[in-house]
Amino acid sequence: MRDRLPVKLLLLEDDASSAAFIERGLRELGHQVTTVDCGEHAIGKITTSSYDVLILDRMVPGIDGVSVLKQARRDHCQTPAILLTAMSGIEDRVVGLEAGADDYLVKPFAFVELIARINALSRRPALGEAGTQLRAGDIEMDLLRRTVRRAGRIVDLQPREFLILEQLLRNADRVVTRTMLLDRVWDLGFDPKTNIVETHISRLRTKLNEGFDRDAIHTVRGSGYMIGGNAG
Amino acid sequence: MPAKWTPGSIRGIAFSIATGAGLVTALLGLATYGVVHHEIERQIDHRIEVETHALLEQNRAHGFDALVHTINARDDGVAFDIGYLASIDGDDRSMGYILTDASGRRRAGALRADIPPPGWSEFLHFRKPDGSTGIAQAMNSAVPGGGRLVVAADRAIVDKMDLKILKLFLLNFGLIILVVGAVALGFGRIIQRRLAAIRMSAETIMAEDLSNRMPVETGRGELDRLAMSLNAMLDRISGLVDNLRHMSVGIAHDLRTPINRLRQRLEEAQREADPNMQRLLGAALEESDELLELLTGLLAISEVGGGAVRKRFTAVDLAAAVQEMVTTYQPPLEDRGISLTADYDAASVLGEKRLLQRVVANLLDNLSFHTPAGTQAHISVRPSGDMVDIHLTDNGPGIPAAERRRVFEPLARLDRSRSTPGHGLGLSMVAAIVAAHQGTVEIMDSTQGMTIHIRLPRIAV
Repeated sequence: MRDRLPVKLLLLEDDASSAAFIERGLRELGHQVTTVDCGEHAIGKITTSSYDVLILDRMVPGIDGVSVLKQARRDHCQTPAILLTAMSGIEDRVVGLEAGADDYLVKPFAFVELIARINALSRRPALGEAGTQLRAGDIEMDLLRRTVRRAGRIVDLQPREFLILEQLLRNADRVVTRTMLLDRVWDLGFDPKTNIVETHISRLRTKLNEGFDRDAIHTVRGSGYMIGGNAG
Repeated sequence: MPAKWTPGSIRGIAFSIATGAGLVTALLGLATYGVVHHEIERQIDHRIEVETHALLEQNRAHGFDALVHTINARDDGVAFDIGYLASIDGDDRSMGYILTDASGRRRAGALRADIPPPGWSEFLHFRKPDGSTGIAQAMNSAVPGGGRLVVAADRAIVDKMDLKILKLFLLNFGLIILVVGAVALGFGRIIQRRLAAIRMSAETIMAEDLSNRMPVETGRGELDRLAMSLNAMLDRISGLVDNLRHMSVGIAHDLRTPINRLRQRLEEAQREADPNMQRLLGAALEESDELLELLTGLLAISEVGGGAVRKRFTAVDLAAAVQEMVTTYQPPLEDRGISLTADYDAASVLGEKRLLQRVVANLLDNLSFHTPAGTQAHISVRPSGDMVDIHLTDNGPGIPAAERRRVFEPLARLDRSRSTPGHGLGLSMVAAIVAAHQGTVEIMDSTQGMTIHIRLPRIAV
């Protein structure tokens, strides 16, 4: 992972062990973490200080994570938020996204998954800034014409491959995890047994690499995939 | 085993009631016959006695010649009325006489019969004026001063009465059997209908929804009380099932937190460990992930089974939803040497797209893991009436017929698939989702391999 600017985070988590785990991991990466264990405290912190990313556990005593988020959005707080849940995730995701969450993570998750999502959110361009062109290195994507070029050469992609590449380009230089792709490209909300992400990435990679020596997509072991913005 | 005397079916009960009623009627008829028969005989005897007494009185008062005269007069038809017997009889010649003097010579009486022995004779044969023979009841008495007087009455009246009673009885018997039979059958039909309703409800409850209840019509009466008892029993059963479900969901839920902590510790340890240790910890992480996945799967199935998901149902273009999954799975299946073709007709259902896609994904996961390279599969979406069918046919090894129901139960895995990945939750998730969409799923034979047939209620868009 490349150097990141330290990010200021608010963590709402009532399970002390989980909170300590997340906090330690984030501190090691140089992030600033404030941990609260109930919804009331979270609302207090959100109104008095500013954060780069909110990490809210849904199930906490008192005011739950979803309510905290709704309250924050009512108070015009636009800070990106990730909701954590320990539930089966069938119902939760919709409720969470409706409440104004930017991302959604079902416990248990690998720490790299959380980091990838924090990174994606902390750098997410504000709404309206998104252009019609995405570019990373020698890869260009025209979102209106739905075309992809590598070093000026047209690459013919299937719709799903296009969506995968779009996610990678939007998060250039940052790891996009397998679960993020499942959520954002397929919108599945469950984890299929068959390695569909790997297969589709492999097809996309083959198409992008045809005629080039350098691999367009990096596989980050144990985390996910990444497209370099500056290299090449 | 003791013999079973109580009939087991409504038809049997109706038959028994009709037979019982017939038997009682027959006994009553027999008794009536006996009493009436005896009474008529007694009347005849009485008539003979009265007549004999009157004639002997005549003899005592006016002498033997007067008696001869009276008997001749009687025979000539100057009969006096002898009460109702004569009218039933309608025959003036129902009485016959023989009078002999002391020397035994016949002096009067037209009865053409041998002189019976003294006293009562039950069956005295005589010849009627038209030549036919009849049977009479007779009494032979001594005439004081010599001679015998035989007074006889035709028994034809007894036979006639017997016949009338028999006719009346047969009519009654038939009528009673008919009426009782019809009533019993009608009554049986009513009970049968109610019982059938209860049976159907029971079958629905077993097959579909433990929250269904037996129909109760008025709340009174034995059948309603039976239905109410069954409902109370169902309340208790579904309470227990709910407890069990809540408990297992609770266990799954509660286990997740400690296992999650364990996972976090492993992950932290892995970050600080040397490469060799990292590999071992990585394997331990995978194991804990597997365990957590199993618990999540169980919770997800219970959540879908709870039915709360239905609140979010909207119109879903099933063909498009299935097609998305097919194009998603075609590349990985192709990599495994399995070909998947598809055809779709437009059809929409009321449901949740992600859940419906999960159904298809789970089926295609199974296709991917449980069929060998070279397998050919085809999936189709086709409306049929007010339903829509999804057929997934493959020419793989299939599932033995005996196991086809079991594979939809949670954690059921076929012996031969123990070595392949998965927890055996895939098909029970399929079953839970399909049930939440008010559909059915079954596994059928196909020409080679098997077909999974899912049927969902279709909606017009």
